[in-house]
Amino acid sequence: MGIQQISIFLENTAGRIADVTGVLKDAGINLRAIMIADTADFGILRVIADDSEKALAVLKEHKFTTRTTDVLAVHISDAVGSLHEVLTIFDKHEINIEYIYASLEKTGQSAVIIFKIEDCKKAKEVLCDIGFDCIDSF
Amino acid sequence: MVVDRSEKTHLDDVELHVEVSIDQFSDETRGMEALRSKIEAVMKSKLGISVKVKLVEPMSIERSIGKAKRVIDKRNLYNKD
Repeated sequence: MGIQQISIFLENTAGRIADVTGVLKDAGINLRAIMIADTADFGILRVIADDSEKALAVLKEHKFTTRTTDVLAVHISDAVGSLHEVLTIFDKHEINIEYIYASLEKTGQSAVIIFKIEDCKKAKEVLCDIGFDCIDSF
Repeated sequence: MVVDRSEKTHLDDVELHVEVSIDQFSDETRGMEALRSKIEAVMKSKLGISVKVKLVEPMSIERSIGKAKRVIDKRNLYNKD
Protein backbone atom coordinates (compact mmCIF):
# COMPACT_ATOMS: atom_id res chain seq x y z
CA MET A 1 0.00 0.00 0.00
CA GLY A 2 2.70 2.48 1.02
CA ILE A 3 6.46 2.35 1.29
CA GLN A 4 7.85 -0.33 3.59
CA GLN A 5 10.03 1.09 6.35
CA ILE A 6 12.32 -1.17 8.35
CA SER A 7 12.79 -0.26 12.01
CA ILE A 8 15.75 -1.70 13.93
CA PHE A 9 16.13 -1.75 17.72
CA LEU A 10 19.67 -0.78 18.73
CA GLU A 11 21.40 -0.32 22.03
CA ASN A 12 22.93 3.10 22.45
CA THR A 13 26.53 1.98 22.02
CA ALA A 14 29.34 3.21 19.80
CA GLY A 15 29.45 1.63 16.37
CA ARG A 16 26.03 -0.04 16.49
CA ILE A 17 24.60 1.96 13.57
CA ALA A 18 27.73 1.15 11.59
CA ASP A 19 27.04 -2.54 12.25
CA VAL A 20 23.71 -2.12 10.44
CA THR A 21 25.09 -0.11 7.54
CA GLY A 22 27.93 -2.63 7.20
CA VAL A 23 25.49 -5.52 6.83
CA LEU A 24 23.46 -3.59 4.26
CA LYS A 25 26.58 -2.53 2.37
CA ASP A 26 27.83 -6.12 2.16
CA ALA A 27 24.44 -7.15 0.74
CA GLY A 28 24.59 -4.42 -1.90
CA ILE A 29 21.61 -2.55 -0.49
CA ASN A 30 21.25 1.18 -0.96
CA LEU A 31 19.36 3.34 1.52
CA ARG A 32 16.77 5.82 0.28
CA ALA A 33 15.95 7.30 3.69
CA ILE A 34 17.29 7.03 7.22
CA MET A 35 16.51 8.51 10.62
CA ILE A 36 17.09 7.55 14.23
CA ALA A 37 14.97 8.18 17.30
CA ASP A 38 17.12 7.83 20.37
CA THR A 39 16.80 7.71 24.13
CA ALA A 40 19.55 7.46 26.74
CA ASP A 41 19.65 3.64 26.52
CA PHE A 42 18.45 2.66 23.07
CA GLY A 43 17.67 3.93 19.61
CA ILE A 44 15.21 2.99 16.91
CA LEU A 45 16.83 3.21 13.50
CA ARG A 46 14.32 3.63 10.67
CA VAL A 47 15.44 3.00 7.14
CA ILE A 48 13.93 2.71 3.69
CA ALA A 49 15.98 0.50 1.41
CA ASP A 50 15.93 0.13 -2.35
CA ASP A 51 15.21 -3.58 -1.77
CA SER A 52 13.31 -3.86 1.51
CA GLU A 53 12.73 -7.64 1.36
CA LYS A 54 16.43 -8.34 0.91
CA ALA A 55 17.36 -5.77 3.55
CA LEU A 56 14.97 -7.33 6.05
CA ALA A 57 16.29 -10.81 5.31
CA VAL A 58 19.96 -9.89 5.85
CA LEU A 59 19.21 -7.91 9.00
CA LYS A 60 17.30 -10.87 10.47
CA GLU A 61 20.11 -13.18 9.41
CA HIS A 62 22.46 -11.03 11.48
CA LYS A 63 20.07 -11.22 14.47
CA PHE A 64 18.93 -7.61 14.48
CA THR A 65 15.55 -6.93 16.08
CA THR A 66 13.45 -5.55 13.25
CA ARG A 67 9.91 -4.80 12.25
CA THR A 68 8.31 -3.34 9.15
CA THR A 69 5.86 -0.46 8.97
CA ASP A 70 3.91 1.09 6.10
CA VAL A 71 4.75 4.76 5.68
CA LEU A 72 3.62 7.37 3.21
CA ALA A 73 6.19 8.92 0.86
CA VAL A 74 5.14 12.11 -0.89
CA HIS A 75 6.85 14.26 -3.51
CA ILE A 76 6.81 17.81 -2.22
CA SER A 77 8.02 20.85 -4.05
CA ASP A 78 11.41 22.03 -2.77
CA ALA A 79 10.10 25.50 -2.00
CA VAL A 80 9.22 27.60 1.02
CA GLY A 81 5.90 26.56 2.55
CA SER A 82 5.41 23.30 0.63
CA LEU A 83 5.64 21.08 3.69
CA HIS A 84 3.38 23.43 5.61
CA GLU A 85 0.77 23.05 2.87
CA VAL A 86 0.72 19.25 3.29
CA LEU A 87 0.61 19.49 7.08
CA THR A 88 -2.30 21.91 6.86
CA ILE A 89 -4.19 19.41 4.68
CA PHE A 90 -3.56 16.64 7.23
CA ASP A 91 -4.74 18.94 10.02
CA LYS A 92 -7.91 19.82 8.09
CA HIS A 93 -8.72 16.12 7.65
CA GLU A 94 -7.76 15.29 11.26
CA ILE A 95 -4.95 13.00 10.13
CA ASN A 96 -2.47 12.53 12.95
CA ILE A 97 1.24 12.20 12.13
CA GLU A 98 3.28 9.88 14.34
CA TYR A 99 6.62 11.03 12.95
CA ILE A 100 8.14 12.57 9.84
CA TYR A 101 11.52 12.67 8.10
CA ALA A 102 13.07 13.48 4.77
CA SER A 103 14.31 11.03 2.17
CA LEU A 104 17.70 11.17 0.49
CA GLU A 105 15.79 11.16 -2.80
CA LYS A 106 15.80 14.45 -4.61
CA THR A 107 14.59 14.74 -8.15
CA GLY A 108 14.72 18.13 -9.78
CA GLN A 109 12.75 20.67 -7.80
CA SER A 110 11.03 18.26 -5.44
CA ALA A 111 11.94 16.36 -2.29
CA VAL A 112 10.42 13.19 -0.86
CA ILE A 113 9.06 13.44 2.67
CA ILE A 114 8.21 10.31 4.69
CA PHE A 115 5.20 10.35 7.02
CA LYS A 116 4.29 7.70 9.59
CA ILE A 117 0.53 8.02 9.93
CA GLU A 118 -1.89 5.76 11.77
CA ASP A 119 -4.35 5.78 8.87
CA CYS A 120 -1.88 5.71 5.98
CA LYS A 121 -4.57 4.77 3.43
CA LYS A 122 -6.76 7.77 4.25
CA ALA A 123 -3.79 10.16 4.14
CA LYS A 124 -2.75 8.82 0.76
CA GLU A 125 -6.26 9.16 -0.65
CA VAL A 126 -6.57 12.74 0.61
CA LEU A 127 -3.25 13.81 -0.91
CA CYS A 128 -3.77 11.96 -4.19
CA ASP A 129 -7.23 13.55 -4.62
CA ILE A 130 -5.64 16.99 -4.32
CA GLY A 131 -2.98 16.06 -6.85
CA PHE A 132 0.05 15.23 -4.76
CA ASP A 133 2.41 12.52 -6.02
CA CYS A 134 2.50 9.72 -3.45
CA ILE A 135 5.10 7.16 -4.41
CA ASP A 136 4.95 3.40 -3.91
CA SER A 137 8.61 2.59 -4.45
CA PHE A 138 12.00 4.22 -4.79
CA MET B 1 20.30 -7.42 37.30
CA VAL B 2 23.03 -4.92 38.14
CA VAL B 3 23.48 -3.56 41.67
CA ASP B 4 25.59 -0.46 42.12
CA ARG B 5 26.10 2.21 44.77
CA SER B 6 25.74 5.89 44.04
CA GLU B 7 28.78 7.95 45.05
CA LYS B 8 26.55 10.95 45.64
CA THR B 9 23.77 9.43 47.74
CA HIS B 10 25.62 6.31 49.00
CA LEU B 11 22.44 4.39 48.27
CA ASP B 12 22.25 1.17 46.29
CA ASP B 13 20.68 1.24 42.81
CA VAL B 14 19.22 -1.74 41.01
CA GLU B 15 19.12 -1.84 37.23
CA LEU B 16 17.32 -4.66 35.45
CA HIS B 17 18.43 -5.43 31.91
CA VAL B 18 15.59 -6.78 29.77
CA GLU B 19 16.12 -8.22 26.32
CA VAL B 20 13.54 -6.94 23.83
CA SER B 21 11.97 -9.62 21.65
CA ILE B 22 10.58 -8.94 18.17
CA ASP B 23 7.03 -9.28 19.54
CA GLN B 24 7.64 -6.49 22.05
CA PHE B 25 9.46 -4.18 19.65
CA SER B 26 7.58 -1.04 18.60
CA ASP B 27 8.87 1.33 15.94
CA GLU B 28 7.82 4.25 18.15
CA THR B 29 9.91 5.39 21.12
CA ARG B 30 6.78 6.04 23.18
CA GLY B 31 5.80 2.38 22.71
CA MET B 32 9.19 1.27 23.99
CA GLU B 33 9.09 3.76 26.88
CA ALA B 34 5.63 2.43 27.78
CA LEU B 35 7.05 -1.11 27.85
CA ARG B 36 9.88 0.02 30.13
CA SER B 37 7.47 1.87 32.45
CA LYS B 38 5.19 -1.17 32.62
CA ILE B 39 8.06 -3.46 33.66
CA GLU B 40 9.27 -0.92 36.23
CA ALA B 41 5.74 -0.68 37.68
CA VAL B 42 5.46 -4.48 37.95
CA MET B 43 8.86 -4.70 39.64
CA LYS B 44 7.92 -1.95 42.08
CA SER B 45 4.64 -3.65 42.98
CA LYS B 46 6.19 -7.11 43.37
CA LEU B 47 9.44 -6.15 45.12
CA GLY B 48 8.49 -2.93 46.87
CA ILE B 49 11.63 -1.18 45.62
CA SER B 50 12.31 0.98 42.60
CA VAL B 51 14.19 -0.81 39.84
CA LYS B 52 15.48 0.97 36.77
CA VAL B 53 14.82 -1.03 33.63
CA LYS B 54 17.22 -0.90 30.71
CA LEU B 55 15.97 -2.36 27.41
CA VAL B 56 18.72 -4.22 25.57
CA GLU B 57 19.03 -6.21 22.37
CA PRO B 58 18.19 -9.93 22.27
CA MET B 59 21.05 -12.24 23.24
CA SER B 60 23.14 -9.27 24.44
CA ILE B 61 23.10 -10.45 28.06
CA GLU B 62 26.00 -12.80 28.62
CA ARG B 63 24.94 -16.44 29.02
CA SER B 64 26.60 -18.59 31.64
CA ILE B 65 27.82 -22.07 30.79
CA GLY B 66 27.59 -23.27 34.39
CA LYS B 67 25.58 -21.72 37.18
CA ALA B 68 23.48 -18.79 35.96
CA LYS B 69 24.87 -15.43 37.00
CA ARG B 70 21.78 -13.31 37.36
CA VAL B 71 23.12 -10.54 39.57
CA ILE B 72 26.15 -8.38 38.85
CA ASP B 73 27.28 -6.55 41.97
CA LYS B 74 29.34 -3.50 41.11
CA ARG B 75 29.52 -2.21 44.69
CA ASN B 76 32.99 -2.12 46.13
CA LEU B 77 31.92 -3.69 49.43
CA TYR B 78 35.05 -5.53 50.48
CA ASN B 79 37.86 -3.44 49.02
CA LYS B 80 37.81 -0.10 50.81
CA ASP B 81 41.13 1.19 49.31
